[in-house]
Amino acid sequence: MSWWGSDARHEVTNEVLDLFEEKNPGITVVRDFGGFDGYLDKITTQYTGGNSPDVVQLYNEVLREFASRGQTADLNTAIEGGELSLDGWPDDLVETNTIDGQLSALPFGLSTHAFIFDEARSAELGVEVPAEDYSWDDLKEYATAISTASGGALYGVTDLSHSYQVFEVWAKQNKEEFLTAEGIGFTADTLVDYWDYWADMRAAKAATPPDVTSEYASPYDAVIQGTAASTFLFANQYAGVVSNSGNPLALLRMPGEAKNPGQYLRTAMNLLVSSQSKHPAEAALLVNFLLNDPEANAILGIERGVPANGNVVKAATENVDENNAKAIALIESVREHGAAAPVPAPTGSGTVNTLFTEFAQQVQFGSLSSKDAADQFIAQAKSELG
Amino acid sequence: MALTHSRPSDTERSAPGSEPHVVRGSEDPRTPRAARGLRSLRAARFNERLAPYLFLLPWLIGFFVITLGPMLYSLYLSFTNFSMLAPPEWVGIDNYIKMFTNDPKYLESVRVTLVYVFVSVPLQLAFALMLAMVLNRGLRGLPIYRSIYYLPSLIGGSVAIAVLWRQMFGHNGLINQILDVFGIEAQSWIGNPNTALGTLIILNVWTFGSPMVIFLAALRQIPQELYEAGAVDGVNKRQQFLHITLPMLTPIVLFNLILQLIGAFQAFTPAFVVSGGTGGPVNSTLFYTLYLYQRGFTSFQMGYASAMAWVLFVGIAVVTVINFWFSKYWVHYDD
Repeated sequence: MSWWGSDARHEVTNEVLDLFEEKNPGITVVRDFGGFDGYLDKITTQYTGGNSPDVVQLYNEVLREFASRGQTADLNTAIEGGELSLDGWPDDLVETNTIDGQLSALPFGLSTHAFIFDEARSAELGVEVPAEDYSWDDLKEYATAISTASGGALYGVTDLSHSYQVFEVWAKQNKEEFLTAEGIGFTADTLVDYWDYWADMRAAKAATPPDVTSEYASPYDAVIQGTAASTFLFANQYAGVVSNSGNPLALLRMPGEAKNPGQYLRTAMNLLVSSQSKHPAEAALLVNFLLNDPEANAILGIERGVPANGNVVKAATENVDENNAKAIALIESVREHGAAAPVPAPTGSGTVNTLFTEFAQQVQFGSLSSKDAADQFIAQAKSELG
Repeated sequence: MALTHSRPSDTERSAPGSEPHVVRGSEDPRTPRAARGLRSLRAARFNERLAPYLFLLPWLIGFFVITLGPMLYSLYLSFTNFSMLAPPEWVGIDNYIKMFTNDPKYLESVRVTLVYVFVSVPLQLAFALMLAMVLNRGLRGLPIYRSIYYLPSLIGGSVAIAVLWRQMFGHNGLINQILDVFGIEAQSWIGNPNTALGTLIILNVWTFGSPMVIFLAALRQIPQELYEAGAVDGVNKRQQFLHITLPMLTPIVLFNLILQLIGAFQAFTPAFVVSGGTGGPVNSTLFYTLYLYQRGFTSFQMGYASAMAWVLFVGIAVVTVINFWFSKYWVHYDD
């Protein structure tokens, strides 16, 4: 089995795999784990060489690339064979991962989008953190107030115009999609509005300037380092960011959710069985154990996000600290009141996501207008998605 | 006990005077021996010819199996559509056509790479030569200075240095803190499309150590008589450099130039780390190799990436050949 992650993840995963071996004498799980950098290259290369791991942790953006080329075993076979059970699983999650009639993978932890606000710095500057049902305009107001009060030393928010993940929520709030199985799921106007919103933010000095924005690999790094007071992240990252920041951080849903929610239960990562596996039954047993066993989930906790199987959520979330409890509450609020998850991204989406960032940056640096960038991006994305 | 019926040995038979010399013919008892001798001689020669190949075998296996095989396979792949997850499909020269006609990002990556190569390499060599001249004056502790200046070229291509560069040229970085003292307004050097490539060029210039060491050795080789003769003719420092030092160094300049050009064309790590693998901001650090990597591993287009690799290979070969061809006009070999 292969997975990527931090040391904390390796620790709990190895512990669970030991437990699995203990409960299933005769099955040994060979483990291959490391950081996220280079993970996809490694897996792809192993697949090409015909020696992929039996069980693979894979992220949603590339799931279709693998599944549509027949590299994922149909998990329905394991369900019929009795190795895997879907008891307690929400139907729509199973639905989204069914590609070409085959159940290609199952979510290995659910998360959702969120916004953090640095409470300590906001209080210092005498600016109030927005309330639960804040809008995009409220965010603009907050960010402008922070930048003004700090005399430009602290930006109110990081510029998120290049984040396709934030735009996806924006599009869903407007009853559109970022990408569908067929291709582009939004109108040019929606994207122009989005980029114009951030252009106003930059003009008001409320959002980070482009050269600062492009320095941060993850937006939350700007909050940790005290460059910006608020930004977007995924809920399961919250506890880690708080401990790195040292400041108390408020955790809220995305702006604009009150009217028409665009957030959804997002598959943080998937677990799949390789179609090259010589032991598909044993591999399915392991997948079943990791996803459906309360004991296993008690160890795994919510490091990968909240379990998708409602029956084991309790086991996974029983002994969490305060910060993780906040994140879980937010994820559960989306489960109650959120949008439907989009289908796994179409093939070629990796290139499209890169293009999105590139065109957004050209708008940031002023070399293209929002309108021109949106038109060019849509044209190029269409040709990439075939 | 001697065998009575054993054939008399050749040596006995051909002992001088043992029997009258007969005309060479089929019955000549020497024939078999001569042939035998020839055979063993041939075998010895063959062994002599074979031995080096036997010694070369490990390298040869490595070359054919690990280098040449995959290279030829990648040539085949460059004419296919290959996602790495499904068998390659033959598409002829489509990849090559798309590259030059329908991929603006490709042309951008070529532009970025050419700027990087043709700005950073001459600067780096000039720097290396300058320092070699200074060190050649024979100051005390030369080996120490030489080692210190050589160090960056050992580590310059590493991830750690690229990370350091990110820190130094960031908006809160060391460079801005220094500039701040002089009242120059801070900006993010790596986050700005106009300056990001410049920081990578500086990084490459900073690894001037290996050409410097080679220049230093070459400077030592220049015969002192030339300088003495020059001194008699009363040349000044500048003329000395232009008419003695530089001409004598030209073969080494060519050597360093070709080596560094090839290296710069293939640069990958600094851009990958500094831009977080994106080649950003706005593709300003999109090195050829970085784009090739993105096509291969992010877009699952290994066929296209292979085609790009072959174009790079041919490109480097062409630049090298042009260099050699031009070298006869400026390189002076002392013969």
